[in-house]
Amino acid sequence: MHLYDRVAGLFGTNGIVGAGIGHAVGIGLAQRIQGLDGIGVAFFGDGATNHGAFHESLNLAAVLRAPAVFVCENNLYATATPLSQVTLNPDIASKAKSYGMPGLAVDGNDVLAVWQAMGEAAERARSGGGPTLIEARTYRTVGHHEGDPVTGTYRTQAEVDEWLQRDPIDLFRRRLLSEFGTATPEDIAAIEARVEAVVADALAFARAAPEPDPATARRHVLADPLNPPPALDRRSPGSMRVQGWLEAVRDGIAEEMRANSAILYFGEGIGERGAASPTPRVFGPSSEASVLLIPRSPSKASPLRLLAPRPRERAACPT
Amino acid sequence: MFADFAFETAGQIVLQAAKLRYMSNGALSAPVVVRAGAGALRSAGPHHSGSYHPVFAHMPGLIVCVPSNPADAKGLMKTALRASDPVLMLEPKGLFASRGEVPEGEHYVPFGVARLARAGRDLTIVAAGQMVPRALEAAESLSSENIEAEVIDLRTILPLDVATIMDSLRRTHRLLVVDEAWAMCGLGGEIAQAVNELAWDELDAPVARLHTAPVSHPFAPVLERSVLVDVPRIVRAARDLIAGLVPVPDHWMTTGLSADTTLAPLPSLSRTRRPLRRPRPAKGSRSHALWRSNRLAWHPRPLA
Repeated sequence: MHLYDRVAGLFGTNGIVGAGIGHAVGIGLAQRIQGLDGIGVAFFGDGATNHGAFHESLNLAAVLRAPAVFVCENNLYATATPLSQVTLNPDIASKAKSYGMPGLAVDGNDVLAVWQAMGEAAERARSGGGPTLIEARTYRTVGHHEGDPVTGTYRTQAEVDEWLQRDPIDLFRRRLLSEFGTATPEDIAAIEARVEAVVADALAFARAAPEPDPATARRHVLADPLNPPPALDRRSPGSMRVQGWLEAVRDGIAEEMRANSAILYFGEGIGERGAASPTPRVFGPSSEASVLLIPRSPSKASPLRLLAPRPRERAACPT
Repeated sequence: MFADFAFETAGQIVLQAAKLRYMSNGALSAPVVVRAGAGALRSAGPHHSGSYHPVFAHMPGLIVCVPSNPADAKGLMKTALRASDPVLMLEPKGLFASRGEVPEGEHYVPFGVARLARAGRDLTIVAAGQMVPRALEAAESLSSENIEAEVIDLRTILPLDVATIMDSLRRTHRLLVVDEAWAMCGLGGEIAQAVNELAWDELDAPVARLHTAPVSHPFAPVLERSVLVDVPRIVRAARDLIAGLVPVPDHWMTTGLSADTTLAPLPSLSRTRRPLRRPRPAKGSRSHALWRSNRLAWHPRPLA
């Protein structure tokens, strides 16, 4: 938890249940607006699907056709709370239908089934087909946290034993060896030895790493310097003109959006209705037809990126 | 969006955007501008009237802007859209209908630089947002009484330009904070304490503060008017401050009940600790006599 690795594309193993689901939407949209083909992927548990963030994120992702994939690892328990006690619809994949996106339930302990579902969903996201919800039905055969009793409180030994028979790594190992015949026991042993060495190295590295210097504790709260360069250029203002508040702010936003094609503008009351926001008219030659209130694909041609859904632009719900 | 609605997504603002740079050790940041109409305007009611800048300024990792005029609103917005940190742009909707001179072309207002809105010699009024035009109106009224108020427009609540406030205080020696948000853990207390720490010797009177009364915004216009800071209240507070009178606010919601001491007995003189020592008064003094007679505890300034 609380891990980030930009190089690996890890945007955070969030400490707040459900909070990272929306980030996948934002990351996907950010990729698209920059003309990149990356997608946002959120991993979360069954407990998160009753959080408002899950529903809000899926809805927005669908309506904006965000390049995102939502992967729910349904292991039947939110820490110690059984899924059946907190929803009358434990079929999580079916919730995708509410938001007009495909929902797939797969055997979460079948490595190839998950790989295949994810491949399809990622391809759909990349090609402009919008988001997908994948429910990987699985189980946690260990405690939720250090010291969490594996059985005896919210689960029985028989239930855990049954799932242990279907351990995804054991299953995949068996299939590679006997069903596909694509690996020998020596291959598997070499992979396992390599993984164990990686973990041992990481552990040794962490143990040998020095404690951080307390003098660094106040770094990275805000940018340093805090002000962006143009704000420090204290040129005396040129000519002035009298403007209303909303008009002045709208002009400022429009100027910045023209200068930076990666600015996205979300909100209620923006676009045609909002007097406070850049409208097609602000951009002069841009005709309304080129204004994408719901962008469906990377559109570098459009200088305006207002993302307020309008009924007539709403996408037909895919099933 | 109304500023009140920000709490619908407060977790994303204060737990995610604000902490992303720190949690990623500077590798990631959330360059997002949350633009919201803030403050009271014509009975918008309890869910459409709030000024919440102190709540957001409390959280490390957020920049909080409360502009007071069209030029600053545009300039701060342009800076916010160039910045790489999350910015709360709380625009007083009571000023949406206002007009003003706006520089043409590129115009950026830096974060953390207050604006001297009016020069004066007798007291300093610190304000932000729609309190700035009210403070200026009050200052004009005070001027007719030969009280010249200096008015400082903070522009950003975080970063807070304490240097400009202290500079002004060194000229005027009196400070009145006028803020539309509530007083509890708020801007008035924050600035007063900054003065304690940075310029206490400059004060000719305690720092005064005016805030919206500690209630949700009532709907009835007459009730709403009774809880907001208006020009007459600013004028009165400034006059009182010049006279050395500072209003004692009532936002603490004191109960009148005495402190619960049942679980906290007075510290005993433990053998492992040095006994508490009080200085003894000089022999022959009146306080020495009182101390000797044990009639009352010795006090460095004996009662007359």
